[in-house]
Amino acid sequence: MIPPHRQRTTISAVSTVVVALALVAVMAATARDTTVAPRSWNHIGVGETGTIRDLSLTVTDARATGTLDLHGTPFTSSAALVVVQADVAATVDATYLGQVWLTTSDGRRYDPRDEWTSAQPPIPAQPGFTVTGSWVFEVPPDGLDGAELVVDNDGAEFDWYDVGLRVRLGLDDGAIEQQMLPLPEGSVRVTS
Amino acid sequence: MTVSSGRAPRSAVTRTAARLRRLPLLVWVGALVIVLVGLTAALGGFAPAPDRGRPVEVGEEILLHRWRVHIDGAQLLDDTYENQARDPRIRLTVRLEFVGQESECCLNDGMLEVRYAGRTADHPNVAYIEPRRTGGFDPDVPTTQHFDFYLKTEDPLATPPDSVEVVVRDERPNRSPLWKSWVVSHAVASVQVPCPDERRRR
Repeated sequence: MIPPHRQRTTISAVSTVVVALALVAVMAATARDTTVAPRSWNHIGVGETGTIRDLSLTVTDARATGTLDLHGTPFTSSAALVVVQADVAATVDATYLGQVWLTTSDGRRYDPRDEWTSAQPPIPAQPGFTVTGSWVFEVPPDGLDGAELVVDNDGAEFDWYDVGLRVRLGLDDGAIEQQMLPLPEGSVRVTS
Repeated sequence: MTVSSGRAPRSAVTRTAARLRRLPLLVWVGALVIVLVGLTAALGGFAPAPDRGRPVEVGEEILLHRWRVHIDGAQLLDDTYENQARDPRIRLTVRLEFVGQESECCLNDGMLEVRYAGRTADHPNVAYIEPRRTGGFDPDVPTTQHFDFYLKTEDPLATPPDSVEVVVRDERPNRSPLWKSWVVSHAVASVQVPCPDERRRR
C-alpha cells in the first residue's frame, strides 16, 4: 500500500510532466518559421529613394518586355522580362547587393536572371560611389500586377530583426513591350 | 443407480474453448501479429516497391511536388576527336516548369535517371544551349533544358540502344527547423524515349 503523501507526490510529478509536454506541443505548433528572419519594410515607389542599414537605393525605371538583347543575341521569353534600373549608394561599408529579388502579389519570389549579370549594378558598391545598373527578372505575365523589388541588407553571421526595402514597380497594367531592349553594362560614378 | 456429480459433462469444444480462454494475453497478441504479418506477406505487401513509377508517353506531363516535367526526347552523342578517349553521352531534352514559390537554382540531383541495356546513368550535367546560358528556374515560367548523361565508358557502343528508359523521381520536404530543403524520393514515372544515334564519332 502506497502511503497517501507518496501518492500525492507521484500525481504532482506526473501532472507537471503532462503540463510541460502540452506546453512544448503548443509552442511547437504555434512557433514562427525559424528559417526566415523577421523584417519590417520601408515601402517606396519608382523615383523615390529608400535607405536601409547598408545602402540607399532609387529605382529609376521599371519596364516589362518580351525580348531583350543578350550580348547581341535576341532573347525572347514566353513570360515577361522585367527590367529594373536602379542607382545604389553604399551608406557605411562596401555592399555586395546579394539580397535583391522581385516578389509578386501572391508571394512568389524571383531572383535576377544571371544572363544579364554584366548589366547589374557593379559590386561591391563602395561608400562615396553610386553604382547604376539593371536587374532582369523573368516573371509570368500574371505576376506583373503588384510586383515589387525587394532589397535587403547583405547577410551577416547572425540574421535577426532588420529593415528592408520594398519598391512598388508600377507594372500593374500588365503591359509587355514588344520591342527589343538593349541593356548597357552597369556603371559607377562618384556620389555628388 | 447412478449418482450425479451436479456438473454437466463437457464436450471437447467446450474444453478447448476453456483452455484458450486461459491463455495469457501475450500469446493472443503474438498470434494476432503473426496472422497480420502472414496476411500482408500473402497479399504482396513486403515485395519491393516498383522502382520505375507509372509508364507515360514521350511529351506527356509528369506532375511532381514542385515541378511539371515533360520528357521530350533523347539523343546519343559523342563529340570527341580521334586522339581523345571516347566520351559518349545521352542528351535528354526536358521541358520543366517550377511550380514552387521561390526561384530554384537547379533540378535536384537524382531526379532524372537514364536506363539502357541494363545500365544506369544519373547525375547529369546541364548543357546550356543558346540563348539561355544559365540554369535557374523561376516559378511558373516554363523552360526547356538539356541534360547530358555521360555513360562513363570507352566502349564504342557497337549496338547503341534504340531507346532509353527515363525514370523521373519526386521530392519530399526535409522539415528541418533551421533550413528548408527538398530531398529526392520515390520514382513517379518512367518514359521509354527513342534515342537516335547522332554521334559524330562512332
